[in-house]
Amino acid sequence: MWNELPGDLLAQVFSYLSPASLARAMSACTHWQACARYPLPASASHPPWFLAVPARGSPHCCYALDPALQRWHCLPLRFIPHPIRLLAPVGAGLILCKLATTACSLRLALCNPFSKQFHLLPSLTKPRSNPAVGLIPSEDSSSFRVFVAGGTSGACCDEPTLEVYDSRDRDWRSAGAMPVEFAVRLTVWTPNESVHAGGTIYWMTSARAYSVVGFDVERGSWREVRAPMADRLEWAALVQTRDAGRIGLVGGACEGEACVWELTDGDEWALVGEVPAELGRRFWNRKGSWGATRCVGSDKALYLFRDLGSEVLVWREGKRGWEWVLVQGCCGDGEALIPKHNIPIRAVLLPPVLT
Amino acid sequence: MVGVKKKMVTLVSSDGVEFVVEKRVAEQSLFIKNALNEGGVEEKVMIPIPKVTSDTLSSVLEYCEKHASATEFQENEIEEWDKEYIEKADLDLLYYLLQASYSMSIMGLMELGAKKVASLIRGKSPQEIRELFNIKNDFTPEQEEEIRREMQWNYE
Repeated sequence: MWNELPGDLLAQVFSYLSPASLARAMSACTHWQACARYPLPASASHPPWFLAVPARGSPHCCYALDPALQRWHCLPLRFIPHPIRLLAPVGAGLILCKLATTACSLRLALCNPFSKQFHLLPSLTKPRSNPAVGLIPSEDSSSFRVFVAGGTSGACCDEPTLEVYDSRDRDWRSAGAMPVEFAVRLTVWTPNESVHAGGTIYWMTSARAYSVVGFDVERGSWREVRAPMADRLEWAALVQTRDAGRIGLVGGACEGEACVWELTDGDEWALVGEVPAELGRRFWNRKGSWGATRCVGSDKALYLFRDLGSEVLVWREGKRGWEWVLVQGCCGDGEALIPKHNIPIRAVLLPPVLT
Repeated sequence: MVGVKKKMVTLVSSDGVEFVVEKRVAEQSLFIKNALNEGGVEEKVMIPIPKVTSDTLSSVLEYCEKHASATEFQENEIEEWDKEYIEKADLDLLYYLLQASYSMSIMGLMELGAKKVASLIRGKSPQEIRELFNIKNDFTPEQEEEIRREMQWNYE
């Protein structure tokens, strides 16, 4: 009986399941497995998972936090032939990453650790090391473009040009020159994390005083926006925000303190949130630990994190509006216990897609 | 109201039982609403509801009756009512309600049923799901092994 339920109906049922429950339901029989691969109805909107990959060495696992159950899962990365570093979520379960090989030139790839997909993108048109990488989806999210800007080529010559990968063409093409002053700043400073809003990709310079560099992909124009409290911020990170048309900046000026700003139309920063003092004290529980703070965000939540074993500070929409909560760090990967505190991570927010 | 005659329609279940209900109740089903519009008939309409038995149809109509008479000010009350309504359905009825809501196009009922089934699946292992819903495991041993490997992250 139940194994004959029409696919549309089952897909409707499945749309209310968390990815973990769905994965178990689709293991029940072949019909359910086939239906779980139907495109989900629009009503399905699970909060994205927090996916962390160690930022050094050759990680054999990545770690995914299911925000609904506050549970960590360990996802093996052995299906990927190279060590990787996270760059940005692409959508549909895919993440953009770069290979951490000994070759100098940047090489990008897409992977889905839930369904074990991996494909290498073609080589860049020009070999570059340490360029800025930014990702921007098309308006209907059906395709995306990756922009690679600046970097050095050959014997440390600056490469003040841009190139772009379009997922529809599946190849790179040159996108012309870029102002040298931006090429230099991006090359030297960029921590390779980009956010996008309103057709512009933004990067943060990685040294104080912080500032934000934006590239308007349609006009091909560059601009710089000073960070709020720029000369006082000890750490800062760019994030996608609750309002998809804007970017956010998270940063702190002294220990145990952090604020969230949004960039408004007139390039002004509006303060939208603040870490409650008590939670801040618990999150930054070691002296000087705020220096290693990183941050990722989406329209549904904002995650502040430091390393794998440490707690994660989450700002999310709860029953009574937006609330800050501390979530336990990852404490084991099934094979070995994780040494507390000392595995630095990069992370993205990713809706887990199993297909 | 005295003197105002309510428009009625007759629904016939797959096992031949006739249900006479108000038009506005029956129209909770988009399938019936479309059928009435196309027919253009005012009175004494008989609409066969294929594949839905009288047991199921009577439960479906209970849902339609409630939702046709609820006003927008009673949101909390109707939510409570929905909860009790779907809670008292056993697994077989739940299955037939889902099928009926699908074939009769009653979106609210379909959503309610689907949510209920999802809540039964939640937190269960594949084997527990098979037992509850009486589903035969039709994977080959090789397929099963592959799933086990793929889903390892989920079996901690």
